[in-house]
Amino acid sequence: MSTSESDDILIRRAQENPAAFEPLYERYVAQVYAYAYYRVGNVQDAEDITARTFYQALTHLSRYTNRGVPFSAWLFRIAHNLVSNWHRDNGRRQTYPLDIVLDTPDPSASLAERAEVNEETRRLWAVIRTLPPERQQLLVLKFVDELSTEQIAVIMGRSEGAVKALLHRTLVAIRHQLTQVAQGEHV
Amino acid sequence: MNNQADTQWVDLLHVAKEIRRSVQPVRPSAGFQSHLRSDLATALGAERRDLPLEVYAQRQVTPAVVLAGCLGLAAVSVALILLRGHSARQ
Repeated sequence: MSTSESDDILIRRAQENPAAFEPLYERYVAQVYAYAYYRVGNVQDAEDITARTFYQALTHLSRYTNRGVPFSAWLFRIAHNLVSNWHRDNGRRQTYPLDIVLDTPDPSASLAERAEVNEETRRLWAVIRTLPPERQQLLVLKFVDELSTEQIAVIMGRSEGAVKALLHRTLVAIRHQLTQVAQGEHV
Repeated sequence: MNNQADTQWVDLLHVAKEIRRSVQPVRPSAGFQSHLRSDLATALGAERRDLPLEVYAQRQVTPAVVLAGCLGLAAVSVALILLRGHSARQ
């Protein structure tokens, strides 16, 4: 990434000639898709949100200027708005599968080990799914897209300190809920 | 007190580690990427066909363009007449 052209150069080129949008698409399509997938939990809707994100970006690119909001943050904001709309439209449907997450990557593990890992992962994501949307957004940006606190702060429109505090509260809440789940299972 | 705080931090780091471990890399399928790339190109083509009206207006023949054309033709005609007169004298 460091040897490739900066976003600003690619954006200027795409603003002059929209056909030059492709390098920006190639650079961010996987990240936007991963974000959408972990927010909605299924391939079909993740693809739909990814496609809409890039259509909107392409349509509004001429109006984009980097006023402290990098292009990547601008894209994630578009994706986030679409995810919010999706949750609003699917508000009643709180449970959704996350098939890929439950597929352990370690083929050398025994079936029992795989089952245990899957069960822990399932339990963890079941807890994450109960968190308020902004906390889920934060976790996905932090652990799935591996963005820095600074980048997350820009996307979420908060200060870095506020993001760190929110992350701390979120981890405390997850630990608390996991403890409750574990105690419930041993009763 | 410090021990309790340390334990809490260790617990939170453990939660963070668990989340990180549970995340599997997901990538859009090659088919989806190819379709989206093609759809975006189509959208670009459609946008070009839907150029704003003022762009079409710029491309239309305006009185200024007609006047410039007439002046050009007149200049060429005068040049030809002068050239013929010059060759007749020779």
